[in-house]
Amino acid sequence: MQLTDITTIFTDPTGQGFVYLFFKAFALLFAVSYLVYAFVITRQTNKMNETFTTKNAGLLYGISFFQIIFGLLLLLVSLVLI
Amino acid sequence: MAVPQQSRHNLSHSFVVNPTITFTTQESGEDVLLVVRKHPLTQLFWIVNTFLFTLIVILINLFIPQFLDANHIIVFNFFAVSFIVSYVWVNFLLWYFTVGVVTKIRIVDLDFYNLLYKEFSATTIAQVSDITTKVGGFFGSVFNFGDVFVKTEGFEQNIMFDDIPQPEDVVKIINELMPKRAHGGI
Repeated sequence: MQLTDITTIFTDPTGQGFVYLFFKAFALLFAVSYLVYAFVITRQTNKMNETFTTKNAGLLYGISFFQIIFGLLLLLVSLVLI
Repeated sequence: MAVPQQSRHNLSHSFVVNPTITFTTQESGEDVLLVVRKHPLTQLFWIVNTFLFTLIVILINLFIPQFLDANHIIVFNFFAVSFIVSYVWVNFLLWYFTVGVVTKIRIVDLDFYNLLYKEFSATTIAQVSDITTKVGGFFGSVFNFGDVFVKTEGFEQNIMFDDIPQPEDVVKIINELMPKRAHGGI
């Protein structure tokens, strides 16, 4: 974000700049929280699988692990796309 | 009902006979005879919530184009999907891993109350003194699910399977095992 962009936030009569700034801050916060959650759920799925092992254990772990990748994607999207 | 020999399960995998599973603290030669989970109907609240969340997201998508540009809408939808998927996944995992297990030797109750808190209780078949089944309410009676309460002698662990399908069959299977233990054979 350029300095001129920052000044635009305060001078924009529609208030759109503030909305976008709020949106980006919220998106980053949510993405980081989601990533932490994804790590926790992957670890817990592993523990659950150890406690009670079914033939679907690999699939369950895989789906949980996929959420870490999805969390990273969210973080990337939050940083780059908006 | 004799203890079944063949593996079978219902559509929702909430009543699985002779499953191919293992659990922590399982002893060698301790065959698992039965695994029960909560009846799928008891999970209806989060399934309905998921549809409501999805509906809300669709409705929001009808209005936000007036306030946000394309990139922001894409990001919003990414987050909405991630929220709904994680909500579904957590609830599914809690349902899937909250199980009651009957083996030839023990009855095990594994409860996951949330992602971070679990309770593991077990008792031997020989310690079981009384089994009570409770089927109540409209849905319980119509769809045949209810609670099975396994009492043990003295101050030992009592075990409860909540909202499981075919509770009478579970009681029959445990009853079938009890005399065998009493006579010393498995």
